[in-house]
Amino acid sequence: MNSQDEDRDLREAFALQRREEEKQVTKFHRLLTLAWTLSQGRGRTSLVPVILAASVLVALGLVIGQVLQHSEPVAPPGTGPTAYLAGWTEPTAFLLRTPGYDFVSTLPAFGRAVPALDPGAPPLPLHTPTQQERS
Amino acid sequence: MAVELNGGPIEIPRQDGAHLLERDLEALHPACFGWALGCCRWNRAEAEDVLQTVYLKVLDGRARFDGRSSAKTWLFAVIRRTASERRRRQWLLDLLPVRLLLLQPEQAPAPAPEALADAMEVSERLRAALLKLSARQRELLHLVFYQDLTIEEAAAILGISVGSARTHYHRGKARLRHLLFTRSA
Repeated sequence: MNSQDEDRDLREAFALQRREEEKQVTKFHRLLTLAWTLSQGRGRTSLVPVILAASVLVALGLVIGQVLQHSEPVAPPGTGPTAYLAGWTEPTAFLLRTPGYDFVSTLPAFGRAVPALDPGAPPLPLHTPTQQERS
Repeated sequence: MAVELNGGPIEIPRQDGAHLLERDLEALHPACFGWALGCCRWNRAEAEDVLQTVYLKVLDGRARFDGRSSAKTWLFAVIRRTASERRRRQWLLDLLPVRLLLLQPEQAPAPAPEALADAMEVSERLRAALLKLSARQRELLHLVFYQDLTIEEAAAILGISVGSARTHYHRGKARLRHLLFTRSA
């Protein structure tokens, strides 16, 4: 018994259904004519939404342009929001400043006073070697 | 290609190398209608709408036959996709109260019992049993038994692997046989 024989009952049921449905098939030319009519209508009206969308975009662009033109005058360089952002430091930056931060972050140089550890104290005088020390 | 309708020719665009003629479409029309009915759960109005959309796609070139498969396989795949698109759109319209705003016409009702009164009992029972199967199983059994396609061709139309199609086919067949014959016995 092959699979064709096994499925004979199902094949017969489907064949009955096919025969019944084939009697009620809508005419091919009716559907094709309707589709063709829709296709022609679509071709004529397809530009309308495009034109509408383009008009809306142009109007929107004009409005935005007008708004930008009449908005507040541009701040001079160094005073605008860019300058503010460049000078911004985080509020917790002071927590990273360890004691002696200024001392460590300064490059030592001959003939120059070291920064005061106590910011309130007067600057240290430059140490000039005496004649005795030199000898 | 030119189709003569109402005295005027209709141009059906086609891709180079492919030859899908009007007579091919016409010859496939009954099978396509059966497949569209199956895809639309035997809602005749919906099936007509789907098939009309498919022909519209063919006419305006949105669906182009490239000759890689048989015309029947290609058309069936387009029908299935169109039916799925329509179902999704309908689901969205049912979900949102958009229908009231857009003044969409009500969905065509299912065929009335009177209309089916003259239908054969076996066919009705088969339809009822098929509606109890999963969509995939129903589609596979329809393609194999109703359309006389191979499982490989059915898999190509459904866009699934042959192995998966074979599994759905065997499970669907067993369930359908159980629904059709065991219960009645």
